[in-house]
Parts: sequence; structure tokens; C-alpha cells
Amino acid sequence: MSGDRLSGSLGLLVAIAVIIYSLKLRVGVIGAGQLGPGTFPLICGVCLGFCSAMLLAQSFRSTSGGKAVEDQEKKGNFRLLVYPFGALIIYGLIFEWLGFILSTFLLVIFLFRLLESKKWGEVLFTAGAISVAVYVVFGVLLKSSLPNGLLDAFLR
Amino acid sequence: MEALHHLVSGFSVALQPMHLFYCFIGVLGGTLVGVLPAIGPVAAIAILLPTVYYLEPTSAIIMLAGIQNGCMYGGTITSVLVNVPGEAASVVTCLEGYPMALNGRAGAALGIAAFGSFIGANIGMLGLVFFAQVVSRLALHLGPPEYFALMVLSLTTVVYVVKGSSIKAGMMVSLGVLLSCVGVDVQTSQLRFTFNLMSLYDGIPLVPAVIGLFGIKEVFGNFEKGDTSRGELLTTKIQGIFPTWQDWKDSLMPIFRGSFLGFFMGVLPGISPTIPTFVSYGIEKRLSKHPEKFGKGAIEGVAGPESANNATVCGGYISLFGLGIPTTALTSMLLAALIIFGMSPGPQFIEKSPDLFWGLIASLYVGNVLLLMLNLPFIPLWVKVLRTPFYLLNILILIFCVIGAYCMNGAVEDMYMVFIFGLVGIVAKKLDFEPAPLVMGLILGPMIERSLTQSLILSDGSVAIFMTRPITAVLLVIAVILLIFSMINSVRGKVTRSEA
Repeated sequence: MSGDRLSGSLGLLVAIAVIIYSLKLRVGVIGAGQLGPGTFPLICGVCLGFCSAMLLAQSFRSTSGGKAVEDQEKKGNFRLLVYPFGALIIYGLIFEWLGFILSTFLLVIFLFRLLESKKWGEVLFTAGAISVAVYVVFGVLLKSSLPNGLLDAFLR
Repeated sequence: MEALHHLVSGFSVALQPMHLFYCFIGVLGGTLVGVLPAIGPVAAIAILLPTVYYLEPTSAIIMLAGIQNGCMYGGTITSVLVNVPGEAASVVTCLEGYPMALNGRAGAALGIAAFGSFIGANIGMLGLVFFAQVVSRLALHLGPPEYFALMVLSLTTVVYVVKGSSIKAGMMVSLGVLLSCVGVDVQTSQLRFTFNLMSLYDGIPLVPAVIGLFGIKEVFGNFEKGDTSRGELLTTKIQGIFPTWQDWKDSLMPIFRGSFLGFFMGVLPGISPTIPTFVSYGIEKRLSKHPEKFGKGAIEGVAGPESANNATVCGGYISLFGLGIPTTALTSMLLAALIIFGMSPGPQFIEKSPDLFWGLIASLYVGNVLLLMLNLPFIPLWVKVLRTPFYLLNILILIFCVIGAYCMNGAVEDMYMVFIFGLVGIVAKKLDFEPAPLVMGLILGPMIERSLTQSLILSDGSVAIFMTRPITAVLLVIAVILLIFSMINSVRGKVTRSEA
């Protein structure tokens, strides 16, 4: 399935869901001067549906094979998208519990090991330096409220 | 005359040491952002927004505007020296700037770009001084229907000018407007699309969305691509940054043409600084007596576009400060900052907050002088910055993105919002969708809905109000024409491409 066909169908599905949902909200009658909460989303849903349908129709009309090859190439480093993203989600989970410095330390170690297989000593040093330096700049100098987490006793 | 008087008082604001300092920080930071390919000005300002809370409003806005300005300069440096545009508005500069550098004329390219930018920004600012007031006075006579039409026109222009498929841009705009509906409906206080999630009651927050769509997307794109994006760094010594007499003769007209073009295109809704650069390049190529020189290092091809992008930034401020409508993702970030400080730009903004408005204009001027002085001597330094290890840089930016999101409200939910929009951005990039139209929809959505509701209240529910008021009708007709054209172009373009 080409990318356009995929995004066209996806957009169409979303549009249909939105239209059904906004019809359930009160739509109101435009001519009678009453806009319900559903009117505006309904209009947007229709626009989205229209564009998606056009994209879909277009993707069926053109059957070029060039796209598939490109997709193959793009798949090559898919790992480098999925792993860092997974790491980010875990980072979000531990962020407030471990605190900014510790969780960032772990994140940076992971990313460096994944992306650039450097030596452990180097990685540990860089990760430590980055997390502390960013904490000092944003948390202390710019007074942003970053969580201290487990290190609360030391940082207060 | 009145404007001149205000401008003088603006300078007294801008030249206060504190404001001067923040202006300096802004242009310096902006140049840095412009030089680094991993991050653009929109994401940079979004990340910085939470940290400006404790600043005084004028300082904060001055700093953020400085970032925009600096960015336009900074992007040039990498375009010329490395053939990698630091940000979108410098893509065109690569076409002539890099060949010039290969011919050993890097200095001249950077020099004319800096002077061109300076002149462009000056012309833009003059325009801003005189037109902003005119527009804001006219705007007092505009009612909700006119605002509605103007914003609809903005969105259709975004769809029309977007690079790539207009149909896709249309989808993104619709999606953006839809997302802006999430949360409590202002008119009826009914919940929409919240799915019983508390964190959605206030709607989709703009800043995390922007950080995700622009920042995270970019960083992950770089992770995936690997360390291949940097071209050969020119190691030749950069000399002769002051353009020669011949260079000036070749560039002066392109600079003026670029500046005026950029400014007036900037005034139009929905035009980001990138578009005028392409137009300017095209014009210079067509007007040139030696079109064959283009592509091999024609100085006109650097001078015109570089002046145009700086002038466009100034033009964009007119609708922001005169009408209160942000027409690009960049100006919408400034609007977000103003909202943080409890200010809402609109027709009365200039009169109500003269200190801020005129201070900003004067500091834009000061910023440009600073940039001219800073940029040229510091080019070697910026080149060094470019040598920052690739992954280190991207990881740092990733962390900044996260901090920027978290510090808005100190809530992990916002972080997840960034991740979600990051994912949307990554997927969109894979499927060839541009993120900017979505952001525009998200910003203008609530304003459009409000003006639509107000218009219909005015007319007792009759849709005819959009056709009987002349300004509204004209704007809407233009919007419809643009829409039809862009759809036709989009369909046609696709067919010819697939046949080829």
C-alpha cells in the first residue's frame, strides 16, 4: 500500500468518526442563528473527509512503482526511530520519580550507546556532564521547575 | 510624524541596558539556532517560552524577536559554507552561495548576505512603522465577518503556497482546526472530543504541539538518517567579507527588489519567509543579463533572497500587531508569548502598549545593527559551532524539547503531548505531509470559530452576511479561488509526475 493510500484512508476514517461525533453534539441550524457545539467540528470533519477522499482517489489513479523502493530504503534504520522513542516514553514514566538528573543521565547513556557505540567511560562521563549542566542552566539559572526526584535531599 | 515620535521613545526603551542585553542574547541565540541544522526558529522559541515567564514582558518579546532575526542571518552561514541550510528560509542561498564559496568567494557571499539582510530588515521595519498603525486603525472598522474571512484566507493561502501537495496541506489544516476544537466549547461550555481525559479539558496546548511537530520530528529524523547530513566543511580561509564595488553594483537592485517583495509578501496572510526567497531568486534569474551564471555562483542570487527573508519577517509583524492574527507558525509563537503575559494583540494593541510595540520595533533595529557587527567577525566561531558532535547536539536538543514541555506547567502530561505530536510529526514526514499547516489550523481554529459565531449572531443566523459585506465577500472569493487553484494544481501535478 502506498503512503498516500494509507494516509487517505486514515484521514477518511478520522473524518467519518468526527462527523458522527459532531452530529451527536448539538449541531444547531445555521440558518436559525444557532450554532451548536457540533457545527464547527462538523465543517472541519467534512473538509478533512473531502481532502482525504481526493488524496485517496488520486492514489488509485496513479500507480507508480517508484514509491515502494523508497519505502524499502526508509525502513533500513527503522530501529533508530523505534528504540529512542520507546526510551522517551520510559523517560516520561520515570521522570518525576527519579528526578531530572538521574532520568536524563539514563536516557543519554541509552541514546549514546544506541547511536554511537562509544566506550562506556566516555558515555558515562558525557551523560553525567550533560544532565548536570542542563540542570544547572535550566533549573538553577533560568529557574525552571525541574523535578529533583530521588536526589531531592541533596539538591534542596 | 507621530510615528517618528513614537519611534524615538521606542529607542529609549530598546537602549535600556537590560533590554539591550536581552536583545543581544536573542540575536546571539538566534544565530546559533540558524547555524545548527538540527533545530529551526519555531521549535527554538517554543522551547524557550516556559523560561521567559520570569522576565519582564518587553525584555521577553525583544529576546524572542531577536531569535527570529538572528536565525535568518545564521541560516545563511551554513548555506554558504557547508551547503546545508540551517533553516528553511536559507535553502535558496545554497544555490548560489555554496558555488560562490567553492570559487573562493565565501567571504563576499557572506558579506553581501549580511548587508542585504540588514538593508532588507531596515526596509521591512520602515514599512512596519508606517503600515502597522494604518492597519490597526483600519482594523477598528472590521467586524467579526471580516476577521472570519481574513483568517479563512490565511488558511487557504497556507494550503496554496505549501511545498508539496496542496491536498495534503488541506488535510493538515482541517486536522489542525479539528484539534483546536478539543476541550470546552467556549460558547456553550460543552465538552468536545475530550474522551473523559482531564488533561484535554483545556484543549490541546499549542507549545507542546509545536515542540513535538518541529523539534522532536527533526531530532528523530536526524537519528534515523545518521551523521551524513553535513557536507564538506570548507576549510579555506574566509577573506574579503566587504563586497567590492562590482559586487555592490550587481547586488544593489536585487537587494531592493528582494526587500520590497519580501515585505509585501510578508504582509499577506500565510506567507512564511521561505516563499519570498524562492520568488526573489526566480525574479533575479529572469531579470539577469547573464542567466547562465546562475547556479555557478551569481551574487544576485544570494543578495535578493537574503534581503527578502528578513523583510518578510517584518511584514509578518503587521498582521500580528495590527490585527492580532498570526499568519505564520513563527509569529504565532510570538503571540503565544504575548498571551503568557496576559496581552492579546489586536487593533488597540499598539495604542494600549506603546512601550512594548515601539520598543520592539526599535530593538529589532538595534538587533540588526548588532547582527551586522557580530556576524561578520564571528563567522569562524560559528563554523566551530558547526563542528559540535552530531549526536551530542541532537541529544541535547531532545532534552531541551522535553524541558520546554515540562516546564510550561510542571506536568508530565505535557511531555507526553510532545511525544504524541512528535510521533505525528515523524509519521507525517514519512508520508510527505508538512507540519506547518497543522499548526496554523490549531492556532487560528478557535479564532475562526469565535468570529463565525459572532458573525452569525450579528446577522441573526443568516449566512448572507458573508456575501453582503464587501470586504468579507472579496476576501472569501479570493480564498475560494485560491482553494480551487491549489486543488487543480495538486491533482494535475500528481498526474504528470506519475506519467513521467
